[in-house]
Amino acid sequence: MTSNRHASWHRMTALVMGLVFVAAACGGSDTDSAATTDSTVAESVSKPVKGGELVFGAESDVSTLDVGAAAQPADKVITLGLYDPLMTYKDGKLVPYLAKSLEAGDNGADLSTYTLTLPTDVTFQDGTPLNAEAVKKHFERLQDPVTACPCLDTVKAITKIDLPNGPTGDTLVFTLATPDVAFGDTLAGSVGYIESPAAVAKWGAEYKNHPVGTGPFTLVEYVPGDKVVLEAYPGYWQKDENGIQLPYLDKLTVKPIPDSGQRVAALEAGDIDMFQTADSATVKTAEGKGFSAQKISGSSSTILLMNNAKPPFNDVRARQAVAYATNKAVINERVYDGIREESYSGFATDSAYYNPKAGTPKYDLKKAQALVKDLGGLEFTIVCIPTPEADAVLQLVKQMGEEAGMKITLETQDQGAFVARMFARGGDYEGACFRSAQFIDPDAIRPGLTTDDAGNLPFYSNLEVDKLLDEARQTADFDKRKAAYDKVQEITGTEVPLITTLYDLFGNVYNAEKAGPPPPGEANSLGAIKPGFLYATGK
Amino acid sequence: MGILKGAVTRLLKLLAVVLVVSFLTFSLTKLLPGDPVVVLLGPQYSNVELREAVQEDLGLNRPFLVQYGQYLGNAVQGDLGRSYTSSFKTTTLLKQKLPATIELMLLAQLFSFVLAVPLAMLSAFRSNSRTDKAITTASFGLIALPGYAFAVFLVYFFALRFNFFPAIGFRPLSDGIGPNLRSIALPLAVLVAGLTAVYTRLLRSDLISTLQEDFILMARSKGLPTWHILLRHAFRPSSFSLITVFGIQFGTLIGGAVILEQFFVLPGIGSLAIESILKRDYLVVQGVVLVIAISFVLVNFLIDILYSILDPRVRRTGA
Repeated sequence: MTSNRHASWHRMTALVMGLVFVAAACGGSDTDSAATTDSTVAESVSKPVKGGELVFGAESDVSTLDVGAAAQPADKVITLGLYDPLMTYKDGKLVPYLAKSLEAGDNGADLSTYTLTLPTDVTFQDGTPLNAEAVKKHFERLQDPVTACPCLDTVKAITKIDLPNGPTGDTLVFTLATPDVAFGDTLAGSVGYIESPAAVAKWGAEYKNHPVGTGPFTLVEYVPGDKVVLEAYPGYWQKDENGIQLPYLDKLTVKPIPDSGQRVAALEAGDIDMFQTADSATVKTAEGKGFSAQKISGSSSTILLMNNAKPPFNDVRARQAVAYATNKAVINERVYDGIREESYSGFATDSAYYNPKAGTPKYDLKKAQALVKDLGGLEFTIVCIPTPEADAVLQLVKQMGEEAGMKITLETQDQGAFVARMFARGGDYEGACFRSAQFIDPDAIRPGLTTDDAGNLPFYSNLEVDKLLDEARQTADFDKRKAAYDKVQEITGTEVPLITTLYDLFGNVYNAEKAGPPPPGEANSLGAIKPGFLYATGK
Repeated sequence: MGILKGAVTRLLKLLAVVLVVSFLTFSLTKLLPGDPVVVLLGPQYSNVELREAVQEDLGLNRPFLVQYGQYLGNAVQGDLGRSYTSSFKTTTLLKQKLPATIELMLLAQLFSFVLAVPLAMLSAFRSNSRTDKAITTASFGLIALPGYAFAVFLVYFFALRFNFFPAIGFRPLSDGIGPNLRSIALPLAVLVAGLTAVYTRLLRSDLISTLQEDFILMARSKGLPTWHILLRHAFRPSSFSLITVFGIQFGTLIGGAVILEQFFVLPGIGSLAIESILKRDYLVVQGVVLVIAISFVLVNFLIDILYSILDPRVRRTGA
């Protein structure tokens, strides 16, 4: 089971990741805590200081600087510099960030009405004051189909926005079409980044290249495919716990370096000070060269997507057979040097909603062989984008499937065509590589499993699951939600709409001589970080 | 007058070539599987209202020929449309990416030409000597060695071990000529090595053949110095193959240094083309192809003119 407003297979190139994560951004969150972080150095080596500059190597080019759509790590590290989300996660709890407060109606009992209060002393980087009117215009802009926000379905759920204290006031009252306990979580993602209405009015369709938010940095230069240069916004509203004005850095340059080997070489040569990677081998190589690495893991995992609406995977036995045939320990050992964790659920194992008793089938060759025999053979094609990692994993999956008597054809497709096939009506694929998303609030899995939802890429349908997911969304009672998600995990563990393989391991690798450790992971994108908290060591 | 007439005729033919290329590119991008709207909308592609709004906004719902006609009409006015994904004007993206590509291409051609001419003369003049064999062996070695492999070698030694040059990135000329040249030193070295080897081999074989001609014997018998014979008498008639390949390499370098651009993270139009193709950003792809096609035909047009200047026979026959 997985969420699927989201993304593709690891390192499956910027484009696909960008695309699929885009949707994640709509309801997703930038979290501090749901991901597990492990750093290879003692992080007390240096204290944040004001000043200096850093060059950051991103996995891919930024796909958007607009609000509502930023989703992949390369987008996040920049957009979280330009904008602040209204909400965020701290120690696993959803708390206001740019907003002053967010309250559900009727003292928390009415989940279809929310009151958002804003601070009164925040200005956008162009000097425009942040007020209720600005936030209202933000949501109206995202609701306009011309904006083409992948978050449209999410924001359309807002049916009315009232400004009880007037346009220049600090209060908004949102009315939702249906009760939604995860509305605050939505505001912790890029839907909750607020842009300057004056900048939108000035630039129109070109706004996305001239972004203005309330964040710690202003955009100085953006050359697609080359670099994004950010400079500290002196009027930023936030200080750190020691009273130091944020951001720490005077300047941050983000350079896309798609090849992970080149990222290590650039770090070694001093061309960059820090980079991100989803490639475990790169983290290991960088550590071997004496660099520091912050490793982050969470619910996100590589997955094998199966088209539940078409033969052969419209038969649950076929899906179960593939699950039984897939030996995740072998994949982990051969492709990832054994440093990842096997995944049998769309949930992180430390999530409060994880059901350890449920999960997709574990490796059992005999059961796989029996199911294939029962089916009278199993033949299918797995399509994926050509990357060394995907090739290695899928070759193993093919070998394992063939041991169980299946006949598997591997097909590669360039990104554009791959994405088109995934989103074609009914899905133009049998099996496909993909990547599930990182999330904190379990409502994130809803689109991926709900019948006929745009985000339901496996085209899975189970009316009981639909009902359970709706019920879980409409209550704030933890026990009720937990019970619903436990049941969903039980059902999907048996029905296997898709197969999660291994939890992702994301690494922020940095040169401790030049940069302090990155702030704790904004775990939603496994590596997305708030750049306002990055600092140079000045050594 | 002959040169002028020939030039006008060629220019008209080249215009036709550019038109055909633009039409084929426009058609091919439409035939490719995939849709920019899918790339833009992802899972929301199935939202009909949203999809239609985006298609209308991008003009993708109009008939093919109408789209092409509009594209062509705007293109002659210097408007190559906007990127579907980034909203940048295609011309803005090209302006951002062309400097690195053009600088690299011009310097690579210049350095390789400057190196290849004396090496080829030395090699041809002392044909079958140890010097010739050494130059020939080195040339074959560099031709056989793929650029990306040589690039790895250069990065390892000159960026990582000795830290002379950066491993990645491009500094524009506005940052100063020193930082700019340092930033492109390694990719430039890779290109120069390969091109020098090719040019040396070509010029050497033509020179050897020219040096057998009677007019060279006459020059020798007059007692002219060797450098004079090579430069003034042998070089000009031996340079046709070199000039032809020189022209072709311009086109190749404009669009073909993709691997090097990716490897050294250079903001060139080769990598812009790849990114745009993968994102189905058709207008940018068309813009890039148009620029490459125009550059290619223009350079080869100039090469044709150069033939006429170098060899009067070409002028007379109008070939």
